[in-house]
Amino acid sequence: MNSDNDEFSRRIAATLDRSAEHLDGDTRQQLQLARQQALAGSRFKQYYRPALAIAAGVMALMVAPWLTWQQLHQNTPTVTMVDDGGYLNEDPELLSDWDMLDAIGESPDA
Amino acid sequence: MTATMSSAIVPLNLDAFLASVERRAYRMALLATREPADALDIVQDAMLKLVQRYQGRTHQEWPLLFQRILQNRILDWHRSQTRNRRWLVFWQPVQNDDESVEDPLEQIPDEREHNPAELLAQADDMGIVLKSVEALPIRQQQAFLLRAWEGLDIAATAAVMECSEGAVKTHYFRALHRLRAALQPEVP
Repeated sequence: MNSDNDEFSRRIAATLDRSAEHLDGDTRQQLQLARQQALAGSRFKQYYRPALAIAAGVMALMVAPWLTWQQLHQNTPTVTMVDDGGYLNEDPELLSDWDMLDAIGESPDA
Repeated sequence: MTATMSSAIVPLNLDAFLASVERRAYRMALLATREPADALDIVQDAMLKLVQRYQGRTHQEWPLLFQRILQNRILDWHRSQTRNRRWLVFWQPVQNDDESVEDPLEQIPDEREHNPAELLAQADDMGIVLKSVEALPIRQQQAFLLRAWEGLDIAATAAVMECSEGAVKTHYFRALHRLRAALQPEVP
């Protein structure tokens, strides 16, 4: 029985060999292309290209508003809330004018 | 992997090696999936993995490594098909593909008259052979193709299939039994 099984298996293997040799031209071409791509690693790039594109898009969505905010704040003039006594630099005699001080609600002793 | 394959000479460069195995690999994947596009994907994946991970290995190791990658990829495909079927038809019981469960029909002795010459003649018919091998459960198909077609010994087959040598013998024997039954011409 073992020799029968061996002969049977051998005949099937020979038939399978013929089936592998009888692939159509289109399939053989596709296999050749697949082999070349595998050797070049380009399928690796194909796999990761969509993920890289998505990551780049997300980064752009995060960076663009920040850049816009930076530009807006560069053009806005800064307003100083501290009174540095600029009007006294322009007119040092202002504190001698009691009528003027009374008009603006200031006291010479302030 | 130290188990042995048949004594075919292995090309020294990866391009030549892959060219020497691509058609048989495609035929194996096609027998397992019955889908040409999926079979091509599987072969390309296997080639890519071999190039990416194992091109530094000696050329004698490439055949077994490639077969292991290819067969694992085929099994992955089958598992994903099973998961998809469960998702679509969740209320139906999943068909058990595990051949560790004995098929009671295999225990019934075949009482037809066996004509070895006719059986071998059927084994030469490409259409019938491909159909019969396609119909084998996946593990039996793998064991048969690796042992009978690739010429791997039992130890190498077990290493590729990642199972015990006993399991390989069981799968192979059952595959032979089914193929003989499938190819046996009908007795009028």
